[in-house]
Amino acid sequence: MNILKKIQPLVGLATLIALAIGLWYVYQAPADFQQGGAVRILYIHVPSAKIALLSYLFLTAASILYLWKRYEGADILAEAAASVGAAFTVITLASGSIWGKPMWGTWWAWDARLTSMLVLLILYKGLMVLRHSLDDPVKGARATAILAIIGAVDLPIIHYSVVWWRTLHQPPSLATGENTAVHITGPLLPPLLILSVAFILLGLYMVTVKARQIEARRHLDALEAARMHHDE
Amino acid sequence: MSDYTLYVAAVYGLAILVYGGYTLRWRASYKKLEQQRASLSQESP
Repeated sequence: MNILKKIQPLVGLATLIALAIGLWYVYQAPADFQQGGAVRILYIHVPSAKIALLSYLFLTAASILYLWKRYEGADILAEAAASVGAAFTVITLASGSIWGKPMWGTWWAWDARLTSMLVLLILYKGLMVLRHSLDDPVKGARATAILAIIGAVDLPIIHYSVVWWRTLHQPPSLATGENTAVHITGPLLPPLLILSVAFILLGLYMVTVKARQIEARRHLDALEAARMHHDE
Repeated sequence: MSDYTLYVAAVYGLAILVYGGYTLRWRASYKKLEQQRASLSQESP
């Protein structure tokens, strides 16, 4: 996992630059004629939601790789992606709720998009709990990988929920085609696109930081186990 | 039309707190683990 050590500073720097540019565009962007200044919440909400889903996609791929090749690095990346994905899902739900209060008149609605996103958060937390609930780390990793792959069924449900069902949540903000009744265009679009790129970099940076922390913890655990074995 | 400043500030503040907070916490934890590992390696026969 030496590659993480090499790319981390570069990704960190790129993240800071992209975030600074994106926030400058947010500051410059005009208010929306319908939403007023509340449109600025979507610059955090939409990219966070995309990274919450991408993290799970990454986690699923890493889980498949781990079960197939038994490569520990894939398991470390899967564990890191769960923590990072959970953080992005929390912000997605919280920012959506804060946006919903002035726009919809309610903090929460049990519609398909919001509920499937809440299921994603429960999945992330469930994976984290399951991994540490088993004494054998290998069994924990395998059980987590299997649950992660099964849980991937939630991804298309989240993505297409606003198309398949009548929901309070509007259609995709960045999609093209017929399901774009409420979407972000014109001068409101650049901050969203730049922050989307910035959040991809931020997610990647957070995964590298978390993965290195997990790897260090595992090395320390192995060292302590070897030491105890030697003392016996 | 209200500019919803409080709502916007709450979201940006929360994002900084969660993303920044976790990143700093994981970095600090990594450094601490590496120090523990180094000291354990030195003690080991």
